[in-house]
Amino acid sequence: METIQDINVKALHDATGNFVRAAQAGQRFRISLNGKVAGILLPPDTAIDPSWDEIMAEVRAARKEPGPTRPNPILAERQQRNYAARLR
Amino acid sequence: MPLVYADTSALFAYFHPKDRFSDLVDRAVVATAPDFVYWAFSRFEIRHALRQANTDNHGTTAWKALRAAEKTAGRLRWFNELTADKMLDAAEELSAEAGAGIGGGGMDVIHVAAARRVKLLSGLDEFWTCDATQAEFARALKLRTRLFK
Repeated sequence: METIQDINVKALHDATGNFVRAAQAGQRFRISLNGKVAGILLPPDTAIDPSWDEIMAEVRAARKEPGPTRPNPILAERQQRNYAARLR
Repeated sequence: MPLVYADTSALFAYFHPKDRFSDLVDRAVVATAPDFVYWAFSRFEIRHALRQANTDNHGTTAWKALRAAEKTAGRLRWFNELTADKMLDAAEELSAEAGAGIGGGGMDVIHVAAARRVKLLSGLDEFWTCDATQAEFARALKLRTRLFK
């Protein structure tokens, strides 16, 4: 992976297309505004999201805990609505 | 990554660790690593259901996981094209088209209409639900459907 290149907002403004094309080709940029980092420009194939494994770690741990499962409330709500419709 | 429209029965089952379908949906996610379609109606319905379930540790765990997934760009993939007004119109058209053949209620038709729209817009790999009636309806509309039961 290429190292990240520091640019400021003015440079980005003056040559946006060049920077976006460079990002498309794999270059990463750290953008500063008034001397402070304000954003990052990344290639489109950069993995920026955590995986489901990371997001769901606590849910999966809780699933393994002993205890009964519960009815799905969405199904219960739908069944109630349909029951009401059948009574009409 | 496959793109899946999970209706709220399936989304709830995925996020809530003690839902009766939780393990089944999780195994499907582990096997296929999908991104889920997310838009205003599904956000409202899943948040509402998880707020109501947030009465114990398991409910809190589910709520936190949903909020973490919402912060991603892809795991819950937001579709700007699915706006409430357009999808209500699409659901109305679908209802008129299917008539008495629809087994589910009005709000259930909205999910299928939205899934059909995503299929047209960008391709949809599967429609997931825990609701047999919903699955039957989706299959009748030629959506590749997975029913958790």
